Amino acid sequence: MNGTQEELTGASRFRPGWLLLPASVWWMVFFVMPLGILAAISFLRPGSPVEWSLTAGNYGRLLDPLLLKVFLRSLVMAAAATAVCLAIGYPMAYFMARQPPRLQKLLYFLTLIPLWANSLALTYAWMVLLRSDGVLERGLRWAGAIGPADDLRLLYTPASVVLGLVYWYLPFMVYPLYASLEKFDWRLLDAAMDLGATRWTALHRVMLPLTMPGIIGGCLLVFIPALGNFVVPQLMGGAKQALIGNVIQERFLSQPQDWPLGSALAMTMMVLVTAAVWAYFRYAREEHALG
Amino acid sequence: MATVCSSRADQGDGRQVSSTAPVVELRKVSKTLGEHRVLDRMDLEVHPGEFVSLLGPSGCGKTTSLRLIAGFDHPTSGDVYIHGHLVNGSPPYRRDVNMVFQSYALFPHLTVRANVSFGLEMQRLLRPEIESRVDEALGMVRMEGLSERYPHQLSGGQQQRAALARALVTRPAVLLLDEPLGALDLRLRQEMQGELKKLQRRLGLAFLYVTHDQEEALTMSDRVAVMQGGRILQCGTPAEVYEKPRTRFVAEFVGEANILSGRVIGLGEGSASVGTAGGVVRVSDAGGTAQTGREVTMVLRPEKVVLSEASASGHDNRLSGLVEEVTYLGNGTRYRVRVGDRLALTVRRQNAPHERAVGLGEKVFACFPADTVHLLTEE
Repeated sequence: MNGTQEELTGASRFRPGWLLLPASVWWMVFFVMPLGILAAISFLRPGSPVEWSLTAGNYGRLLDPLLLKVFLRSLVMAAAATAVCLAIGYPMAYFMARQPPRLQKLLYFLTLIPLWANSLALTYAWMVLLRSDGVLERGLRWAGAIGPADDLRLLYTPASVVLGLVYWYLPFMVYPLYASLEKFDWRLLDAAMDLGATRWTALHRVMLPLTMPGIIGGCLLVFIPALGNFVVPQLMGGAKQALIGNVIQERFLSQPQDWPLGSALAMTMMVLVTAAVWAYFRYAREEHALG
Repeated sequence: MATVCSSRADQGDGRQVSSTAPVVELRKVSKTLGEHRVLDRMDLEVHPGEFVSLLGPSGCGKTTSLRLIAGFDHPTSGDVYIHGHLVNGSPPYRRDVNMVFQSYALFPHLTVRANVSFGLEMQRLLRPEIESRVDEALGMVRMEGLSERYPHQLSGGQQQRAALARALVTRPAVLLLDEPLGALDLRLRQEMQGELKKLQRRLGLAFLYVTHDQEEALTMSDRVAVMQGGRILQCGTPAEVYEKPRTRFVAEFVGEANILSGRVIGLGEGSASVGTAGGVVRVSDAGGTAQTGREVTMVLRPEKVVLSEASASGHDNRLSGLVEEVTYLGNGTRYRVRVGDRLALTVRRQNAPHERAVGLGEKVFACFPADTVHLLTEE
């Protein structure tokens, strides 16, 4: 183990800083600057689109009960989507990781396919499936499972939003999970069972904690973008299921425009998420003071 | 051939092993994976307090037999008994055996203490008892000071000790050890061999020890079972296996061996004369297996041969030859002595004081008594 560390230090002696240049430029121009502009707008008075005088009032306006309700709904939706992704993704990643290496590669490749298709088009496809008198209902009616006049009202419900979000983000849950399960030493399960643990106990006492980085990573990769997604709630949720992403989008694009409020919302979301992630990693580091 | 590997009343070192029921017993156990027969009607008994080694090259089925006993795999046919109970279908967590894995398989997210207490927690013991037994187990392997460390903060030897403590603490009927010292360097390995053996004696716990290292098997075991191709070829005390190997494979796998083959040309009283490529060799044959005219194979261990420059008398066998290779080994020297066109003997000699060095190309006599030549009974 010492050997590897020495090798690493040896290799890292060659560290030319200019390799970072393209990334730095990119980040400055396309990330830091827009973010700065957004932050600046959030401190301006609303106008058409803004009035050039400073105020902190936009942040105060966020405490509007209506906005808080949307915010809460977004948290619940994103959390539900994350939970469903985890519930589907973990067994899936587990199954993949237990296959022979060649089959693993094929399965991994297959999970990439949804990412190649346009997600907007895929979301429309879901609508075709789920809407009243859509493919699903017709199928069920044909099979005799529902009556000719029954309307299941599958679309434009909280469930259809969660479904859409799960469909978008499931791959992002599976990859980190697969990555950590693939590294998992399966003999540890043998060892646990040898010491008297049932299969289930072995899974949750040994495999679960050891794949926790993958679980956390996958949850972050699903939860954070799901929280800000506005396409799915707009298309599959209808007017009643608006999420925080929709509110932000509308303040920028629809009348009445209110860029400062939209900016303040976006900034607040970002700060909250960053703070939550930072707090988690801090906690995790203190909890398991590993290496 | 069906070699039943069961303990004898009298062990090689004079200790009496009680004739109690075996803690682990395999009866005609076979394991087939696809077309490949990994184990072939294997019989084995391990008695309380006994140290049994399964010795063989990789792929001989020794690890598979451990996994069958631990319950990770199940036999295709045959029966596995633990404490006299048939356990064929029962899962690992219902079996009163523990395994020390080849590269330890310590839980990386748990401290040494938590690793060791895992098995006791599974038995739902009360906290105070768990703590005291963990302390006791850590004490046995001299790991008290390192109990709060994580496995990756330990050296290989320390990880080995922690794995041992984890397996011992639940007081299993038998401890299964799968090449536990394989990952350690030579000095540490030898040190751990001694410690393991001492611990095993002190606890009176049965050990079933898998290794491909014949020296390890010989020095630690009460009995050694030499395996090849899913079968036990021979099972006995280390001295029996070394001195009286039954087959050529056993002779060559356990230590260095000169294999002499030839035709019986004369029979004496409890002995036979065999014409070999190096000349006539007299071999004691108390069992009377030799018949005139029969082809036989014999084993002669390198350290049994004495090299002398004159044709000294007092030896049953004296083959003249030429030293064609000298290898200095530190504590000894290995010679290769050509005694015939198609036969060269390996001879090993201690580097004792007043011992005249034999040089390359010297003409010597390889001398050895008849009773050091062992007649193989099977091919």
